[in-house]
Amino acid sequence: MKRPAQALVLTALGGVALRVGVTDEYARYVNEWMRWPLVASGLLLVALAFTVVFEKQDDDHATTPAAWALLIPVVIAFVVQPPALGSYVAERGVNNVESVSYDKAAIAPLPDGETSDMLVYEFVALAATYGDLLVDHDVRMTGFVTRQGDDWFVTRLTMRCCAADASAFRVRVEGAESPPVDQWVQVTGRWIEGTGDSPDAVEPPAVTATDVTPVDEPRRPYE
Amino acid sequence: MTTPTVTSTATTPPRRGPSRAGWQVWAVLGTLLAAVPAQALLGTRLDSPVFQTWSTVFLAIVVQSIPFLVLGVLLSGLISALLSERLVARMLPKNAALAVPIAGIAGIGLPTCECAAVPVAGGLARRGVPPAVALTFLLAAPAVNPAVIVSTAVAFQGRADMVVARFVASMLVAVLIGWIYVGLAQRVPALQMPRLRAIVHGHDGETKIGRFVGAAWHDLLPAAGFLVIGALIAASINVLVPLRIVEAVGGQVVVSILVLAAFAFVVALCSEADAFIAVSLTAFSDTAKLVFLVVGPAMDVKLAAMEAGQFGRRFATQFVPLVLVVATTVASLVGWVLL
Repeated sequence: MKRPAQALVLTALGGVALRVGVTDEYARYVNEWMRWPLVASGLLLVALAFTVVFEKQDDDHATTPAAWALLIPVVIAFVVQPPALGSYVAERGVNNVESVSYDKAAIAPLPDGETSDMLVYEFVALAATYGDLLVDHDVRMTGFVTRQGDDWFVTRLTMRCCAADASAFRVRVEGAESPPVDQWVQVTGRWIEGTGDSPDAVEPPAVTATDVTPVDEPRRPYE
Repeated sequence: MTTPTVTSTATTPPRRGPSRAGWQVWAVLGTLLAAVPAQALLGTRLDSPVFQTWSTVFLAIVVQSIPFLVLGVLLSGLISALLSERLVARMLPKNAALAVPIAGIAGIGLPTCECAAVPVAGGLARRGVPPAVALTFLLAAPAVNPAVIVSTAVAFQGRADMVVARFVASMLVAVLIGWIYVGLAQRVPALQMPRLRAIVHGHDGETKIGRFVGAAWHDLLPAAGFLVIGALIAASINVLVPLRIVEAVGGQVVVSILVLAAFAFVVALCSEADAFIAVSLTAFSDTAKLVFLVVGPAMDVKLAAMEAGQFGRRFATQFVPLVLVVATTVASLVGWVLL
């Protein structure tokens, strides 16, 4: 591939990095701290492409044909506009408590008499390690709906670097009709004592729901 | 082992008329413009969950790598612009065998993922760093830097032995590979040395900025192009081969080590995230997990593709299996001793 075509490809790639960084799209793929590095590298790519203007016309600067592959992410970003990962990933392995670095310092007794907001993975980890803290306390969690057999779950994915390392956490919900799969919901309820109470537990922890409200997909879909 | 193999015009085909470059521009523009109607036409047909999941994972790997790649290319450009061969010769010991461990320790100073290390190693080698020394830096940097050490310590809470074992094994692999290239380069003619494409165009060499921009152009497109090819494979494996299949062999000592080494190669996780995946592979022994952590940053499908682009395909066909074998063996031994 020669320099003018290279410049176009770089501009397109820079455009994708800029769009992903400037809009909320970044949250489907990477962590929040990657946002401004993405914008900066998008700008740098476009700036580098622009230097083609100062090149002497008679120079080829051919590069490897592999440069054509750079069109694939550009086309996918614009044609497919991939959504945040959802139930398909969650069906393939869930609630690996050990894959969460559960910060022991953060474990404080939940406030009495009020509903505590909690991440799904926090709830799973708490039930598996310090279940006593959950007894007689209402918690509120946000996630999407997944189903298995007759059961339904409020499910959320965690992410470290990028969506390629996402892993799923889920809590079974009792006492409420299942919303459609992949619908985002806010579930308020209380831990059913003894469910999911060890890291090796095959069964996930469960809650008795007092309220299930459909909500929009959060701006940051992963925990 | 004193002179790097430099072939200056290896990939520059004979000059053709301007019309030949013209079709490429139209092909790129055509592909980008065709994306607009394709979106309308294919709309609902792209809804299959497997394809969407694949697209998200693929784009996530690419998006995640872009800033690191740009950083690596910037550093490589700075090296090309500022570092002279004389300065390199004064900084490094004359004896390449002594320079190899120094390059390994220097790897601690580049706290990034793998993607940045490839162009930086290429830039170093172009400025007269012996190829074996640059390779050691390439292998060490993504595995022994502080960001990776911290993320490993966080993932394996209270397991200082795992953090130490990862550092020791990764450093050993990098230094051993460097020494293999130092020691055998002249005695074993079959050993391929990295092919380095020098920047030969006259006007690039004139100013520091010119050299910087020239090096950036030169490094970015091959690295990024091959990165995308690696990401295609890694995303496919990630989506099509669930972790559960891998876990089925967790009990067998030798098989589990080989499977996790192969798994690290094909899933191509970022070296700052792989510890969190390793710790979740509960069916495996600690030694197998260590193999996963040592092989991944040293060699994976993404790196193999990028190295083929940077150092030549013939070199890569030898270097990739060599690193895989050395990394798996060293990590198994270190795991056996320390864990």
